[in-house]
Amino acid sequence: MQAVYLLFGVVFGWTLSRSGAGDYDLIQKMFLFQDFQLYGIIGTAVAITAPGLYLMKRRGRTAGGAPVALGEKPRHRGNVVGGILFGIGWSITGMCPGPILVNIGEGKLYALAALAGTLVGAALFGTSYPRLAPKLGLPPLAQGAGGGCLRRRWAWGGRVDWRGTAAPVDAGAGASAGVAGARHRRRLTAAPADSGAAQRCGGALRPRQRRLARGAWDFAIAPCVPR
Amino acid sequence: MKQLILNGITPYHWAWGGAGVALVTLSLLYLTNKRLGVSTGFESVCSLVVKAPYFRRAALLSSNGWRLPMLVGLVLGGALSAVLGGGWAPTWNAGMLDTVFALGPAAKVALMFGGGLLVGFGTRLAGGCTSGHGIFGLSNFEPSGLVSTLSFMAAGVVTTNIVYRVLGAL
Repeated sequence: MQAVYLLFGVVFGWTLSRSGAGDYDLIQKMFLFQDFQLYGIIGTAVAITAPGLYLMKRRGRTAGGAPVALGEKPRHRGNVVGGILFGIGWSITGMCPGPILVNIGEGKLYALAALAGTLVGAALFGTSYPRLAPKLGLPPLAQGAGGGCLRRRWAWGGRVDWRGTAAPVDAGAGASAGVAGARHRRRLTAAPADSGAAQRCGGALRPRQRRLARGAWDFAIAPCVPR
Repeated sequence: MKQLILNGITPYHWAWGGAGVALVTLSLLYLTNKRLGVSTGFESVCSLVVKAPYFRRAALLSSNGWRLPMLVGLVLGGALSAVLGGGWAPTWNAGMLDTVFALGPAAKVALMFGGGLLVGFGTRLAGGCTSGHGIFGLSNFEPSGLVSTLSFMAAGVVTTNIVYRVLGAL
């Protein structure tokens, strides 16, 4: 099975390499508004992926018949702060995460330095998560800044069956894992032990969402910090 | 005619590039039920050596099995693109960076390491990068994806314009 993911990486890497998504000059020219290449790539990718996701949610199942596990990344202040830091780094290196690896493959020696920096940066973030989380309203540590938040907003044809990919809500584990901030601990301990109970994400649902949420749908959602 | 730094190759038309990215994103979800994202894979790499609680989360460790092979695949994909496109050779060539600033290898390493720090820390704080927030998040109409994408695009525009229109013009 790992070979399949390796193959996905190769195809993705080839595409990024040959379309110029990892090319230092094209990245700078995108930010200078001198070249449309990267805007075209991202725009086309979204224009095709969005209806594809819609159809997949309507179907509700993957090729293998599993329910489509499609959550939303949580919204918090880290989106803006982290986004800005990443944008500066993207401009300086001329590479976002995928292309850092692609450029290493292509033989760009400086990309190795960028990868080293990236890994150190990610490690610094992970070790400082307990201190950053309360300041920036990040989700509990067990979830991380980018994962595990499932929220239903629309009914796609009523056949959707999303299930949580997030770690089960476990008050003890969350607290003992060193989740910082009394607010997080309160939320964790306040969560019912049964993770199948409807945990809402991102605060209260609007009336329409609540209406949609009622019924046969199965909510299995890890708690998120409200906005 | 547009040319890549890599062997002066002419890049695909952007529509084909975007279609390829979309194909990878959709088939990864449809065939294997995985949400495309690269930067979480850096946490997977960290989890191999860093023992902080953040890198021991079940949600992260359970995804190492597909993220790590995909990262390796990205490197191989780049290598394959070079080998089949005029040959693979190690290079320091960084296009405009060289023509405008003429940095030596040591300065380039320092610059790239510093930029990499921001990429690693920033993407993880934002909760995703160009793929997870940009491609997938926007396609899935996620508020966090839109906010993150606008943030990193704006910061990139400002930074590059400072670097090339202000510092580069000195």
